[in-house]
Amino acid sequence: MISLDRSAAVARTSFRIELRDPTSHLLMVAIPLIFIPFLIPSAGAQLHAEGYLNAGGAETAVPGFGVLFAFLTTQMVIDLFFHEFAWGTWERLRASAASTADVVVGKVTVAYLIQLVQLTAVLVLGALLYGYRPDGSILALALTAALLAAVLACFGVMLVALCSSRDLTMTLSNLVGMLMAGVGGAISPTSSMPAWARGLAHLSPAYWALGAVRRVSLEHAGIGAVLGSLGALAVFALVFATVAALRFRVDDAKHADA
Amino acid sequence: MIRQATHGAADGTGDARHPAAASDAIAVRAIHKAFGGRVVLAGVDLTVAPGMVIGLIGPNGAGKTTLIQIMTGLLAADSGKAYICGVDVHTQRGALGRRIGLAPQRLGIYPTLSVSQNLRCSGEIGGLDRRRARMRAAELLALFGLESQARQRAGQLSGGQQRRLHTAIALMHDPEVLFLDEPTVGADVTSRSAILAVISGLAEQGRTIIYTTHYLNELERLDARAPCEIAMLDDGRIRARGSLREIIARYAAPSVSVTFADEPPALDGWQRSKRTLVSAGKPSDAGAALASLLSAPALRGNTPVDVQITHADLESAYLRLTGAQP
Repeated sequence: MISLDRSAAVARTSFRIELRDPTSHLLMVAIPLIFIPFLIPSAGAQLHAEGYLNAGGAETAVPGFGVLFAFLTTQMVIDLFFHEFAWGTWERLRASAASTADVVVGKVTVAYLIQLVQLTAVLVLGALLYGYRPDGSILALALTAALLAAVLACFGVMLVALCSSRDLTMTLSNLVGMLMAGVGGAISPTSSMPAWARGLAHLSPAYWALGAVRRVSLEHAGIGAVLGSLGALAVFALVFATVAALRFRVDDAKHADA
Repeated sequence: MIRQATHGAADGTGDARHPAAASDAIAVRAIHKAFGGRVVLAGVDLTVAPGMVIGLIGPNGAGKTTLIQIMTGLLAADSGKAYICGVDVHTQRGALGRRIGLAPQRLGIYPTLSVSQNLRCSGEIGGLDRRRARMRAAELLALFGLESQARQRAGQLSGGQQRRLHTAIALMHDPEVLFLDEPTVGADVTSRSAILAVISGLAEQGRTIIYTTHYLNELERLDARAPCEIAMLDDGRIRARGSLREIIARYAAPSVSVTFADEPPALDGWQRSKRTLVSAGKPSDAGAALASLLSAPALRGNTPVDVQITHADLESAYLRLTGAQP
């Protein structure tokens, strides 16, 4: 049984911890914004070649780097848990009145919001700074961001559930995350990749998220046009959440070599 | 021994209590625990009445922390049962968490949060609303002498102050049973004294406390304020149990040891080892035994060069129980 009060208390505690030291979060927004202008010209040229003659490049560079760094932001989701092991507070949480479900729900809520805020901040600031103007439904774009944030939050928790040490979790997060983002088209469009890579791209949530964003940004797409991508993202979230739920052991000893 | 009956299947919070164990603050029955092939607890039984202070002592590796982890629901026993206020520690973790406060051996604080935030967060997770958590945090800050550090990051506190905060966190939700696993380890004299003063106060108020420590004089200090029982754990079993005074009377071996300039003759009631005479048995008055020895005619002209008196205290009882002292 989940207690909303206790889950909220766990979430508030995690929020306070994150707000006390927001540097990493700010960097995950600032760094892609620094990189984007370097990529806009080549992204624009690529789009022109594909027939989007009015595109400037921000349409793919801004969401692409937003998604790439969203995958890197999973590190912060992982540390939501590993900080507790490193600081000796996990034992306290387990002995408290909060159940395992309360703790996990509280943590996952914060993990989700971290991912969502990072992605939203890059898209909004990208619009303000580099003229990123999606010509389709903003609601479809928001739903895509919301679902990708859920996928990544569940991905982070799944890695925590599967790995016994922070080092291993971080390494896997970076390797698998970068791979999924790259193969999914975050760095260069999947259309420019070899055929085998294009096939592999379907296994990456980044591919479905960026496909939806691309249609919203360049093809006047509404929610109906991106329902397939949203469904695929929901399946990824469900799979990661199921693995996390099945493998998460509150009693597992974790090495928090943080 | 204070016993408060709390019979019945419910306590108003919807938690089913085990009727046989409901009247005890702690009821541990035949707990076994092994890690790999190493048996850590080999059938531990422990019953603690409400309001009792138990000093759980024993050598490193005796199983004290394992027993506390089982009693607080952090670790599952291989067999046996444990109840806290009638709540099964294995199957009713939520209800257990409301009743217990735990200060684990390892420091557990959020270093980036302020001292006050550490307390408030713990209180809120423990079930207090924000207003009550704020008020309770203020009370505990004053109690533990941390008021001036309230806004400081916990990671910037001294080691002793962090220990005080660590112990205060365990008290935030006003638990019925308090588990303190070596709460003063690494603390300076001021912090140790502050922690002990608070624990003594809680003991006086009738709080059930399980206290493990290697500083045995802390238990003697606690006993001076509120009667303290000792449970000596060794090789996975409770080797001795009784009030502090009983344990000292039963096991402590006061002794007098005198080294002389020249080898003394053998004397009744004294064991001789080269130039040293050590009292045999348990002299009731070490001072009188020493005076009697020094006035013995056989020792006239033989100058005593070293005198050692070992008092009948908990340390002496502990050393005899662990076989470190004959």
